[in-house]
Amino acid sequence: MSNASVNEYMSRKYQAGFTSDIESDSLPPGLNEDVIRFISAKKDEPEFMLEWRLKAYRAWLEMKTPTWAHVKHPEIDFNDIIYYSAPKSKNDGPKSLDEVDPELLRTYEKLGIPLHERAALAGVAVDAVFDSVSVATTFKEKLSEAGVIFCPISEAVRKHPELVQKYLGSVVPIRDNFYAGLNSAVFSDGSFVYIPKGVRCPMELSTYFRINAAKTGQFERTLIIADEGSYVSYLEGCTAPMRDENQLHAAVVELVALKDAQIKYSTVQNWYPGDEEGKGGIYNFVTKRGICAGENAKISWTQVETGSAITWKYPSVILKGDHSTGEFYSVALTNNFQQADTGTKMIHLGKNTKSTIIAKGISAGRSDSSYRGLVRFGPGAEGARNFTQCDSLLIGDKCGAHTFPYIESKNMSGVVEHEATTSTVSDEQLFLCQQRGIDAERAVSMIVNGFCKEVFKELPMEFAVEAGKLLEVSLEGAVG
Amino acid sequence: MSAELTQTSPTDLDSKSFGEQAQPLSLPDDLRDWLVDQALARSADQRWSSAGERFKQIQADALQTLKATPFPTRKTESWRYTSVQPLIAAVNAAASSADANADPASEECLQPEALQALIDQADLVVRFSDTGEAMLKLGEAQAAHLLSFTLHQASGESTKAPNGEADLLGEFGSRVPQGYYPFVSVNAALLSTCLEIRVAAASDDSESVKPRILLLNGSQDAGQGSLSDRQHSRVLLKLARDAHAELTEVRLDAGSAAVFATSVLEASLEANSRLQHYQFSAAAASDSLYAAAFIKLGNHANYAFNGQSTGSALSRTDLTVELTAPGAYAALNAHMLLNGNNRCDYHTALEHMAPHCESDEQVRSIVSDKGKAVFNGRIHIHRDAQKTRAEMNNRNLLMSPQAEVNTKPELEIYADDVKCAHGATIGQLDASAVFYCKSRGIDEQSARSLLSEAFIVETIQLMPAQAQQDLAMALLQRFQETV
Amino acid sequence: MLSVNDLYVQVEGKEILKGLTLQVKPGEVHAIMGPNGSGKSTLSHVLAGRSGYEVTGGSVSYQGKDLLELAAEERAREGIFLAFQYPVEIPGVSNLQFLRTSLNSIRKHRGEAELDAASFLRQARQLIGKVDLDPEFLKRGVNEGFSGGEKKRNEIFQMLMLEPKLALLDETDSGLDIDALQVVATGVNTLKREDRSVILVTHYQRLLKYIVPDYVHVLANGRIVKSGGKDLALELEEKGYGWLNIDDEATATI
Repeated sequence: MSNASVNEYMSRKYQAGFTSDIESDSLPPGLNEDVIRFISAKKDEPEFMLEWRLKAYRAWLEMKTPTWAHVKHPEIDFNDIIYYSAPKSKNDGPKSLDEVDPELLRTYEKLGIPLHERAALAGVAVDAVFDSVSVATTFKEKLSEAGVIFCPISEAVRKHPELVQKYLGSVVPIRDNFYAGLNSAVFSDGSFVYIPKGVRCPMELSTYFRINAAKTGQFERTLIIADEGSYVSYLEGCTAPMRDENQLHAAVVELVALKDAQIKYSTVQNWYPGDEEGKGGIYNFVTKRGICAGENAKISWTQVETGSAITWKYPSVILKGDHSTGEFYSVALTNNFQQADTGTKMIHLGKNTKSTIIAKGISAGRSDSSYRGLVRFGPGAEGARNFTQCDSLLIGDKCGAHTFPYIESKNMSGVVEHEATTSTVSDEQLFLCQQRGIDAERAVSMIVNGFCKEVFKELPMEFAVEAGKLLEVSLEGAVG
Repeated sequence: MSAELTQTSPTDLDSKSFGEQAQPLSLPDDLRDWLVDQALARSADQRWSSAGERFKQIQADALQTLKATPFPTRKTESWRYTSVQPLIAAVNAAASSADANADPASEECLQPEALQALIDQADLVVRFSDTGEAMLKLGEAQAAHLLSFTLHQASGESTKAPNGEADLLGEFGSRVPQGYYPFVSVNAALLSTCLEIRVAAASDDSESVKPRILLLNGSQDAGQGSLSDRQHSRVLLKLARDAHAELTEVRLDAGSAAVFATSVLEASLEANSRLQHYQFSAAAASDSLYAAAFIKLGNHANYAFNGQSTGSALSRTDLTVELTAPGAYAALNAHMLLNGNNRCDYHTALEHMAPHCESDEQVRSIVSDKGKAVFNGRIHIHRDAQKTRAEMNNRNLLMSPQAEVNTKPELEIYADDVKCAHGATIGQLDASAVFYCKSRGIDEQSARSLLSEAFIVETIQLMPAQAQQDLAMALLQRFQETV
Repeated sequence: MLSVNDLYVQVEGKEILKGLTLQVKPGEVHAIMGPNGSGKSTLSHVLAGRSGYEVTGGSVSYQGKDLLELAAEERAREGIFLAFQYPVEIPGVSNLQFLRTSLNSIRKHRGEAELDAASFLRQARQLIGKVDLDPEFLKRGVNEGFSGGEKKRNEIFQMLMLEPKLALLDETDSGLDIDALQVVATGVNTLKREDRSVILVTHYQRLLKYIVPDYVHVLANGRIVKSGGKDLALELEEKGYGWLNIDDEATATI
């Protein structure tokens, strides 16, 4: 590609990559029990929470970093990470948006987060997590009328300890894996959602995560509980400033769907991916898991992963309730030196449980994108069904696309169907488009969007548009 | 290394044989240590009459590697679904059974007629016995003159082909890829026979002059409660440019002893050569078997693998094909017929290293009772392997509530202009097809066996040779009768 | 031959047949017509013994036996043949192998000797000609890759081979061109004998031009709402199902 528009296309940069100048209230780097006590005290946590954190920390010390993912990175020095960093004004505790640091609000504006009136227009309730703490949650009142609890998890720990104690760690136990253990010990904030019995949450709930301070690890924790017969759709977005060094993001998300409840969880992940040389970028090591605890429950994960230097993430569903449903729709795009190892686990335990997996991996530049998935039918999963489709699209001859599906069946009445294909954007396709007057990057964008269509249609509308744009930006310079 | 071998006195060695084992083995690494001891013990009475020094070196090197290799546990990725515990149990059982060998096997190995047909048409038949010795017979078929070979035996005697030696020993181990192959080291450390074969091209290109090589493994002799663990064979095979060959490996075990056997094939196919490779395993339920085949394909070389296994307590096959030059083609077909407590594990890897190569793979399983089928199929497209076509299909039929299937079809792709696809299914027989049969008067049992047979017959029909198809059908019938 | 009395059948908890009564004597040809969703296919499936159909009331007797007590394959061996509306494909099982297994199961049940391969093949070759199928089809997998018309002819061929006492043809005429329709009709007419009966389940009357029924029944909403002679079919063709106060869009547009 040599025309002018291509140069312009290639020169597009990571658009969320600016830093905000806000005084931080940070700890020095390093991790020990005192740091955990500090975090817990800072948040006025009840005793049970501190105990839980310390238990997690002690378990974590004995755990090893996972090595099975198809990713390469230098060893992480966990003592060179800042485990707590809050914007200064937090000490006074913003009671409303008016009290929030205006610089912070401008940050959100730059990010295009629909806070303030724009939130009202979009009809989205937002909990924004800036580095380590939740800053503001909009629409609290309207939600509380419906009985919905939507607040920072630090607040839930204090105000709804019975719910937190019952469900925190019930889906992702502290010993689940290295990063989940670390998160359990040091998580600073995140969102908490409880939808009462029979309530359909009146609006989409949304969280924006952003890492700002240098050398800061972000360890947010999200817990969503949908009580019997309820429904909630939850959106998660993330960005981070451009920095030369790698930053760690190790979040844990737990979803609990009780009988007849439905949780739809959508993510557009746009952490800083590093530059064209592979310098900097976020290490995104996230544990996301939901349990369909009761009959007819449904959990649906939709993710568009375009950011991060390394993504290590397997949003999963434990299908425990009979007739429950799990879904996973994913687009993972990697460019330059990005590495993504992502997929899902569908653990079928109950009768007539169903799961669908549609995973689309797009690799460009020198990147590697892997799908890693597990479908397991337990002996009790009578009549279980799974359909999996993993498709890879390779753009250029220096990238890699991989598929590692694990399929395990211990039930003769279960049916698993798995398909995987690979394709490329061929010279012939590009030539045809160009011959019809469509330039190469437009053609690639069209082909990529078509490739991802099945997943995009699962996203809430405003996210679908954003996702399409993100892919375009992320593919900069992919065709040459 | 060889110094270490000579340090151990014969008396010490005796104390390490069966029956006097101090403690039962429990961990996989205990098994490894026991195998190391066995190898040391046996090295004393090995009398390779040809290339003895070479084999001593091979075994010494293998021992060195083996000592440093942790044995697979459930946490070992490439062995996560297959456990070495049955072999540990067999070793322990043999150690605690005082009257081993006292009760020779009474059960005759039922030899299907179809096997006789294979024997009759073979140019070279090698029969491996429980003692680790092999008997070689040159057939009267017309293609034997294209073979040059040497059969080396640890027990002493070696046999050479009338028209010359193969001279391939220098390549021993060279086809084994980088990676974790603990039982390949075991095979070399305990090596009982090594067969090296070169196949020359016929002057005229017709199929009728394709040399047929038949390797027969089987145990019938050892007694109840003992462990027959002397069969560890290595085959080095080289097909010259334009050469054709057929290699058939058959294992039929009917003895009452548990068998632990390993076999490793290292083959290289030069330009435009063709190898049809068959592997049949109808082992006894108590057997622990390891087989590996490492195949390198040159320009336009053509390799077809057809495997059929009824599994055993431990049955693992590693099959790696490297397509190293343009135009190479590999077809891998395998099927597993499992009942009782039998397990079977095929780990295949297609290494597409050059452009314009193709591969097709079909693996199917029928799993009854408490059987367990494992398939790991890897397609690896290297950076330079543009214009590759690779397709893989795995289908599994679960016939009973406690049957289990674990499958992992993998793609690892580093070139963009390729066509790769895989599919995997697990399920039971189609209920509407069963009803259709019943509506025509066929009872449930017959309908199920008719339909499951059809499921396998499709892959049997992919076998290029009739005699092998017949054997596969005979073994399938035998399996169906036991279900 | 067959006596269906006040039959009630549920499928997945939904009542489909609601008190159906039907008497078929040896040698008779009955046509059962009715709009979509009236329960026609349920009737043929429940008679053939398909699982998933729960009989909640009534009885069916066949040649003096309680039909509902018999397994599907026992019914087949007793002479009931169902020509499927959607014949099932069984890749890998050849037509020959399938039919021979089937025929010998039935012969064994009747106390007859199994047919040897040669006579079986002779008979198969002869009869497959009657349905205008190439003998090559015998070697192919059961219905594997057959066109719709070929599958239906294959059903008729199987019927001729198995010589049932009661043949149930479930919409065998649907989707067939005129030639294939004649092949089906010829097949059925060949089978007709004073000790054999035929039930034709059909949506349209066009097959009835070639196979003349003794009785025509109209099935609607799970029961027979009208019975008559062959003229009833013509009347239905002219007037549709509307005059019987039955809604059926498909019939209206014939």
